[in-house]
Amino acid sequence: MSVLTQSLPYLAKGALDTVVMAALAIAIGSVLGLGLGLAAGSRSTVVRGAIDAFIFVTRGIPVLVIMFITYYAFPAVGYRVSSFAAVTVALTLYAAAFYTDVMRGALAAVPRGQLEAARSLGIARIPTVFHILLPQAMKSSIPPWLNTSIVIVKSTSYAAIVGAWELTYAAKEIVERTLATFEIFGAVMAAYFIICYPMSLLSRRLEKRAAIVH
Amino acid sequence: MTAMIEVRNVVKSYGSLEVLKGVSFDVGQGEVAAIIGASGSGKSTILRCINFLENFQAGTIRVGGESVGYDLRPDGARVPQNDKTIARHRQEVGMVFQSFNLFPHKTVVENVMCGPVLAKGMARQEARTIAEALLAKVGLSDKLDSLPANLSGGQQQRVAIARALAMEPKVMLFDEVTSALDPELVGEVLRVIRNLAQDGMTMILVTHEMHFARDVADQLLFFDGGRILQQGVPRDVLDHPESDRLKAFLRRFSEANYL
Repeated sequence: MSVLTQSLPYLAKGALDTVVMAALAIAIGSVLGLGLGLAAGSRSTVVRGAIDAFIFVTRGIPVLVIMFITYYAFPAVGYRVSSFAAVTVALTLYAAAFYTDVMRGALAAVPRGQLEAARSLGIARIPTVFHILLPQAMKSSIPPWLNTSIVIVKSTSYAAIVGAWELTYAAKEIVERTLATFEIFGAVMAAYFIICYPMSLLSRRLEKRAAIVH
Repeated sequence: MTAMIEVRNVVKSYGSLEVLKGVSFDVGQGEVAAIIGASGSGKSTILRCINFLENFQAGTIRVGGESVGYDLRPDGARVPQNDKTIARHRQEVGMVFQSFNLFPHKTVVENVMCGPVLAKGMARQEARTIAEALLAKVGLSDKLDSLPANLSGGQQQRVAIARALAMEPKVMLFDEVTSALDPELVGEVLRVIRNLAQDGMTMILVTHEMHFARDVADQLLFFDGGRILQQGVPRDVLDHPESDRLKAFLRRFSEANYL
């Protein structure tokens, strides 16, 4: 038990890095996903094709492989970045692919009558998207957005394999030193759960609310 | 005197399925036309063509003298119009849908303000004044800040009418606007439409309300299989059906209503 209490500050520091990594990936990934999800409604087949390719390619690769790619890609083109940065970039791209599809789907799921009503009033495409379609799509995209975000939080643990320091890596270090496998990983389990559980709860609640509206 | 709405030989098909097979009719300024027909007869499609929610492959539609959807070159070629021109046409043609299609995230008054603000760039305050006046006209002054989900179907449909009127259209199109309503809510919507007719609004109603059509419409068009089979003064068309198709339609209709 004393092993655990002694290790707690170190684990807490790791947890903080996990939260920062996840928050960056979720925040930047969401902005990218919103932009690309909107662009997926473009009339240009080139734009739509490029976005589809991004979604399918990125989702079709394990996030760990993307982390290795960014980890080696930056030095290969002459940039020295920390493993934390490389991993965060990978996670952001991975998140963006999922968020893009979430947003694209949510926009497509707005009933066709909404678009027709806006058109029949003579409202142009862009204001129709921003004032009519997007507010409705945002609402219905919150539960899948949260679910994706939970996956992103948990995916930060792969960073340990690439060598970026975060919760799982910190735990591995302590275990190697103390051999207190079960105590430490038990605490790590609890830490991930504490981060993710409120997100799950929120997602569940918003799902219920979204269901009532339409 | 040119017609407010002039439809000439309009042909519309989805792939190989022809839903309008050369439809022509005129609606004069201030006139009310009612369209009846079975589902799949093309009656909703022609409305959707008039404000270009649907394109069409041949023929012309003019509203207020201006060609809708296509510019006609002197050599007879049809050139699709750009988005801006089409949007301008749509601003002049109000459309009310069977399923209301109110914007669920906006309040009643915001729904009505939407067109003037987003399509015409009107200041919100001015748009609100117009919206409040129109909502008073359709009897919904007490619902300004309600959300559509908290209104009855009849109230929602009246908001939808006010929303279309806020654009000050030259023409109003009603696409089976009472079909989704509970019977006891039909009257309040028809009353609003009747008032509009009395105010001299040019309108086309696609409807199953035969009594209302007989009462309010100046001309009645019977659509069947993508063609107009009979048209004329409602009384004549309803009391003296010429074709077997119309006779059968009216018979089925009265059976359904009185059984």
